[in-house]
Amino acid sequence: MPSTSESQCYFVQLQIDSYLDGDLALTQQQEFMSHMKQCEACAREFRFAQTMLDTVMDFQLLDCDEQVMEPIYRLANGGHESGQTTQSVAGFSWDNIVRPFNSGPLFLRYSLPVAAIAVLAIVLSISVFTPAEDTPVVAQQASVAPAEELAQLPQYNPAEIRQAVEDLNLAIEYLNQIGRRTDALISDRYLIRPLQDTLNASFERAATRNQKRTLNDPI
Amino acid sequence: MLAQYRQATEQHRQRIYSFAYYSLRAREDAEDVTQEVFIKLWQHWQKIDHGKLAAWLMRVAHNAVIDHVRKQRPAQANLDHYADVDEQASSTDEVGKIDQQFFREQLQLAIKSLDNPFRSIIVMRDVQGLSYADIQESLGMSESQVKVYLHRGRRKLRGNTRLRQFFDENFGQKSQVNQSNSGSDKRSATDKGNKHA
Repeated sequence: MPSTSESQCYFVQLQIDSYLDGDLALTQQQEFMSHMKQCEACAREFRFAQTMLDTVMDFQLLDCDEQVMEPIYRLANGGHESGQTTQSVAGFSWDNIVRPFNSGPLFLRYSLPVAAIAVLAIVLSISVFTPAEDTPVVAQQASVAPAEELAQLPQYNPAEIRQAVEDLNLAIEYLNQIGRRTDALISDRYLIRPLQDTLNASFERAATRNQKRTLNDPI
Repeated sequence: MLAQYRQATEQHRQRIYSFAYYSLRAREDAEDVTQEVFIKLWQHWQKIDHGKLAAWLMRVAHNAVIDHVRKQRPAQANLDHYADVDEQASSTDEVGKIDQQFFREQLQLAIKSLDNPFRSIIVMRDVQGLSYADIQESLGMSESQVKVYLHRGRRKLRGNTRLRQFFDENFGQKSQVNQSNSGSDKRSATDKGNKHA
């Protein structure tokens, strides 16, 4: 190893590819080559890199056989993406069927698919919107079922219904009072009272008014 | 449209096939990739930007090669070891011709064994002579990234012990340091770094 240090060799060897690509400035190139003349190890590394790059750049560009492209051209000629259209199975070829349409006038190419889609849409709409034969039975069952369910529900007399309405009105009154009491304006600010306090006050007042009503309190 | 398509395939076929061949080092796989690329070209013919057709094709080829490498079984890796030596041997000197062929072949195998994107960038830049602009367009990288990967890939190749040993035994003492930076000189001889242009 000559007088150059290992770190210098390291940095010079990092520049080999830049030198080979012509990316170094003139002064850098001169320093690079002067180091190469002094250091045999770096010169060997440079020769290796140079030989390798020369060899790679001399690789010939290759071309594939025309046969490789033949199926692709057939595919393109057929105008289909799957490639199966060019295959003939037992004398049947899809190309023979579609070729008249592809070569025909534009309106003929699109009229048949449009007609087919229209027919399909009509058939689907008929099958969807025409009621089935068992529909009335289902409707009858649907109309009968609520009556049976209502018959199974518990029956209430007028007094019970009146009591329930009174309880409901009482509950509404509680809620209205809560709404009034929670908003207490103090100066410019609203003070929100705790909800539980409001509820308790409502219950106490209701209890003093009518003991029975508190027992049926819906809240 | 069909005529334009055929023209495009004729124009880019060699580039795609070469890229696939030097990436995969197997003729059949390279043919498969070439077919795959041009089928996709046909399928996307209406959608692609034809001003950037070359870059689009290289990107598709790059992805197809990656797919093939993933699918490739290890046993198949070296089947095509000695294929195409004859067709590669046109520009060598008579002296040391076999050695150079062997070195070239080992170098191809070493390139094939590189990971991506090192392999693709070395094939695109050093083998095919594509410009940095084409490569960055194809791979979606910046020019500085491409250069970094290129130099790292070359260093990986130089780290190949078989190549180095063979070089030291056969070429190391014969050649002298050439003061010309051969890569840039060769590229400037071609049309802006593109062998195909």
